[in-house]
Amino acid sequence: MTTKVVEDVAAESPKLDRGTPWWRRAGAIAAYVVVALLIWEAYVRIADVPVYMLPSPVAVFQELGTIALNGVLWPNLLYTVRNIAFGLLSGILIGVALGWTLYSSTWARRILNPYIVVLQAAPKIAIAPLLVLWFGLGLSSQLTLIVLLAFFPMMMAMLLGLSSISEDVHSLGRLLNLSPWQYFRMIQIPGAMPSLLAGAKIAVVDSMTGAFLAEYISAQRGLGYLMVLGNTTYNTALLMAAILLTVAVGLLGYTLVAAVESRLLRWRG
Amino acid sequence: MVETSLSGQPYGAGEKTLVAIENVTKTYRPRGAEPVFALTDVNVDIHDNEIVSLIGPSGCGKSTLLRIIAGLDKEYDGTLNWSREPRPGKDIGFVFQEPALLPWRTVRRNVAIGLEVQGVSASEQRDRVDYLLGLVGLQDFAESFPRQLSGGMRQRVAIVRALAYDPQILLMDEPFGALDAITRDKLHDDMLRIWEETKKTIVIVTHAVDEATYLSSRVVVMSARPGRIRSVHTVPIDRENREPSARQTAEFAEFSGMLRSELQ
Repeated sequence: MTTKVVEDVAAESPKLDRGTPWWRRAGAIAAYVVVALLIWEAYVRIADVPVYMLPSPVAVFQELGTIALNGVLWPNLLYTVRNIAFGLLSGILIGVALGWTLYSSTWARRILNPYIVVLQAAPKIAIAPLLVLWFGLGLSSQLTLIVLLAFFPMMMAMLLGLSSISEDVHSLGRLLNLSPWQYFRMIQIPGAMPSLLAGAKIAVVDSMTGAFLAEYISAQRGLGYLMVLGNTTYNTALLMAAILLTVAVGLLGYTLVAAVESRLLRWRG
Repeated sequence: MVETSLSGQPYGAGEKTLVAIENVTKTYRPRGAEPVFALTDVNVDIHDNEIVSLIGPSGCGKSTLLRIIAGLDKEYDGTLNWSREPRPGKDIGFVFQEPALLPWRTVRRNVAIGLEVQGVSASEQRDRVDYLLGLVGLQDFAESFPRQLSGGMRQRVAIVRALAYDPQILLMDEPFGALDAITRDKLHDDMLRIWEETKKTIVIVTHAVDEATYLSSRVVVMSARPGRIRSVHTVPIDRENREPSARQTAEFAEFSGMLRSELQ
């Protein structure tokens, strides 16, 4: 009986077959993109859409090439990506710390909970003008908005992740006489990791929303600023190029989290 | 409280006391409700190198008593008189009903966690874990994750994790309760082999009389509401005769029958 179980498990444990090879998956994605672009191009030509309404993909890519070469693109792209990265990171740290505090202290939970609920219930777009008023048009109001959006999913994820750790594992920590720091590092962080990564996927998107929202309202730089510029100057190709870039940034962020996830959650198989 | 010994030469009994449990009383006092008397005036000695079972109906406080011995529950009246006071994090091995493994750690790193915390060198950890996994036939699964193991294998890992740092006492809280009958029998033999090899003092909480008879040198029978010790029996089966066929003997049947009638 035992040997049988052992054999079964041994047969099933090395999961070498990971399905389709990466180049076929990449090929499939490329095919989807090409088809979408072809339909877009065909529609613009056949229906003779005016360029300020919907420029053809060729025009959008030409615009993208132009701003890439004349130096408009890079500082703006870098500015936004840097803000997202910085705001997201701060949001993650603050969210994890707050989540831990709320989980660990009944008092903290009682005192902070109403504030957090109210803050979260308010639509951020409504707060944004206030932030500009308080922090000015510059970086600090933008970062504040990003952090405000990104910390909440991380905090909730941390709370959920910590409460998923079983009472027995908690007892184990006490039996092994773990210090609070050891318990945090060896049990709580890895135990909460699946939830934290799920939270991070939301936080990435939220922090991007925060960044673009902030730039719409106040910035003189960034991808959001390029969109506003394209929009107000009837340079729709520029607007579309900026949108494509935001999609690319979003995919990049999501891919990064997914890569971290597959590295850290190998044990889930 | 009655002490009996039916016949035969018991094993591991009658030696030095490791911990004397004296007048231990535990009362839960929920706010706005009647107090619950979980344990009332419990007196029992746990000897060095013996396997002792605590049996009783659910709600008799046997798990509470085990947690008090483990130091997990410090809110009680009475005393635990240890011959050697357990050092924090080093002297209590505990096995829960669920394996409670850390799913993100490999089997090896699950077993090694106690050694890791104590700062034992990596090579020493490796040797110790290899030895322990060999003891329960899991040497080929050192680098597997818990998810990849069957329930019985996981519980074996949990048992050797508790033994890894060589505690002076191994406490087991219904450790085989969640397993199927065949796996349970296998683990019983694993336990006897582990005891043979380590001569650990082991306290097992169970509600299965066959398990108590097969594994222990002494059986402590408890009664419920309030949790008290009803009787303590020495199991009349020789150490050498603890093998699967022993379950069919008249002695075995007689002793478990007696326990069963005490539980009613």
